[in-house]
Amino acid sequence: MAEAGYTRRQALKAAGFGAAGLAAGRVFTSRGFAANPAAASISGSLEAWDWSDAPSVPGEQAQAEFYTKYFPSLYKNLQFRSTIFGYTDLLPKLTVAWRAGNLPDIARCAIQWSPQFVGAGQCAEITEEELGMPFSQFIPGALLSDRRNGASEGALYGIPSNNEVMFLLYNKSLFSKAGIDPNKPPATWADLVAYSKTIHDKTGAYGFGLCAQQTNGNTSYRFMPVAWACGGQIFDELSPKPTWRKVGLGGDGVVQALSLYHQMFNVDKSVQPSALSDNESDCETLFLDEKMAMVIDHPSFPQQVKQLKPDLDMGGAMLPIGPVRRAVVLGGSNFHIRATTKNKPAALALMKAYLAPYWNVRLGTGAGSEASTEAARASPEQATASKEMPFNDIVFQMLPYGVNVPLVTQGAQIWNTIIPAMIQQVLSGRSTPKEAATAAASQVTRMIAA
Amino acid sequence: MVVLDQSAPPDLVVAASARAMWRERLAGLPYVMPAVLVIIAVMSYPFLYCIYLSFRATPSYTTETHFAGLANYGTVLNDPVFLNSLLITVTWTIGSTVFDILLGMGAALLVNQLTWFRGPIRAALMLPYIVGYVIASYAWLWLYQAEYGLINELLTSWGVLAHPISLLSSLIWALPAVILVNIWKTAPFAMIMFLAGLQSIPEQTVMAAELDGASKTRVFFEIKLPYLRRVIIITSVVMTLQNFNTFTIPYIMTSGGPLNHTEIVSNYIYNDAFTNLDFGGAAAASVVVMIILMVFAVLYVGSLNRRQPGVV
Repeated sequence: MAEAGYTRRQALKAAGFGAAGLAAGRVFTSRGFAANPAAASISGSLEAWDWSDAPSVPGEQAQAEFYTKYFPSLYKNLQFRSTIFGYTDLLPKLTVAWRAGNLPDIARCAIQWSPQFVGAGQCAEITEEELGMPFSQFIPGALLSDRRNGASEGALYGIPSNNEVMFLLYNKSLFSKAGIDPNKPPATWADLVAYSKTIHDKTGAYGFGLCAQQTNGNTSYRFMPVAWACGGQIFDELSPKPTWRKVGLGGDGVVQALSLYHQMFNVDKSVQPSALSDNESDCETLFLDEKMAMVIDHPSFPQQVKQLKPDLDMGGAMLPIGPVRRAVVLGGSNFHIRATTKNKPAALALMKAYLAPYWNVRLGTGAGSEASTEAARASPEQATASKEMPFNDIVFQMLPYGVNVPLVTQGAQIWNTIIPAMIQQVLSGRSTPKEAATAAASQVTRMIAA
Repeated sequence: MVVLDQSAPPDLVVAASARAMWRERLAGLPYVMPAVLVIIAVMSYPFLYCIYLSFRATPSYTTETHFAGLANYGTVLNDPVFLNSLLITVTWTIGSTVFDILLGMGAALLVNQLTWFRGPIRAALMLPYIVGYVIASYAWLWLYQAEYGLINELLTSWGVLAHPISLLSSLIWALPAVILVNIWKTAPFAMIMFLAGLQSIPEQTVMAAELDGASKTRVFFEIKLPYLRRVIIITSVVMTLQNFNTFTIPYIMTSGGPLNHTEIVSNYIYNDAFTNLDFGGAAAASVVVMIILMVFAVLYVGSLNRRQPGVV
């Protein structure tokens, strides 16, 4: 390890046995996280694919260090290769590679990609014994994407590497200029629509950032929390044990959410006019330039704001509540091991190393996300990281409200294509909210019946 | 050239001429065979596999496929989104190619006439072609940006627009906006082709016409243009094929939106394969596009058989 640049102390710390942790009497047992397998037991070759946490510099640094220094230093007998792809590049490459029964042995996939691989039988089952830690360490909702057909129980074919939820970020100065109490963010979605109009009318700035680009997952990430809050759903994802069979997209909750979007974009005109072609980049630019008061964004964005515009007076809040509930997309990523891999022990070793609290926190929060295990979230490393991440406490508060993306193999098509198209129909004035929701529901019904 | 005894029977004269013509045509074959073999080796498997896949059903929930006959073709040809993407692609291609040819010809004529700084100006005009598609797309994204983009800034300051608009979010302006980017990117290629053609025109012919009192316009239309006919046809074919198969600009700038108004067929095929996981459908769409382009290429290239003026 010294040759790899790790001293014995660093290696112990990285493995989670930090001196501070020991001094505090917090010894991580095998119930908290899995011990790394002995170096001699892991050999052969292993290919791992991951996606980049860019533009988060801490996240990229942590990733590079983990894959090029730390993990190879643990297993000298292992021929290890890792490739980091851009976020949008990994899915098509993995889709083709695994359909061909080809490399990699293990990959980290965004949560909404998992159903297509798990559903097609391309992933190896993982047991608690193999992983070396109980599955109770993970948020129960996050495990649905690792089961066939998004089932609530049953075998797991992946393991969450990190969880991510979004929250509401707002500009306190613009609130004040509009005569709104900057310490009272909108409590409900109806409040948010009203605030957006007030801010736009009184300051000229856009009240809220709307993302409605076609064929883009970011659109649905921001719309579905509104729909869920109004009681709408795509299938039955709001029920405790969703079956993913009954299509709920044409329901009143979705119509109500579309109506709120229509109000902001077409009636009040309080959101940016580029919404139909914006995947969040315009929203973030306008927010940084203090021309937009409220955005829904990832935990990494306020870190960027802090670096780029330290004097911007930011406020953070949980996503507003709707008539039925509060909701947010339960995002994150999963590790999947290829079903035909010839080196499952090595793949499991990679997983265990990644899930150790030190790395789980560093790789999770470094990317503006959260660690996936309870042990990591309760660790001293997390406490330190949370101090450096603005509004991390709000993100933790949002986690229990996480709702899953459609966990069917056609999930990507529904999430990236059908939902954005439905929103665009309304925002462009081509359809009423009811017409658009009904048409989208019919499309999904035909798709899953085929 | 083979000189034949003109007293020989006519059919023998014809046969000998045909053999000579074929010998002449095949003389160049050994020189192109290596390249042809490489192309066959690299392209044949994906090409044939795509055709094979177009006849297979490829459900998203399994990696197994089964024979589906013409079902994929039926689905694709009855899909209004595919038909719309074809229409958008035809508009995109015609719009891009026509302006590529016109602008390329204009730039070539301009550069050809220059006596000073011809090299630097030619290099500057080639810059858009050299810049990568991704960089160009992102650069133009910023140019079109409503609040910060240069285009909106200029149009509002000149009084053309009362307030900034998001061209890429407009159902009317999104397609012309991305076509403009494509023209900017590809017209330099046409310029280079036409410039080479202009420089191959015999100077004596042009000078003779000018001495006889022909105006510049007449010289262009009656002397230069006929000489450039082959170049124009070849450039048009190449640019049409290139523009038809474009992927990057609409993918990055609009993702095919708003409401599929900028979704060209290559974007449709990509989404069908990697978002909808319908590889069979995407393969069928690819084959349909290939057939369309083959028909076009055959018709266009057929017109190359006409002789150029002044050539024996």
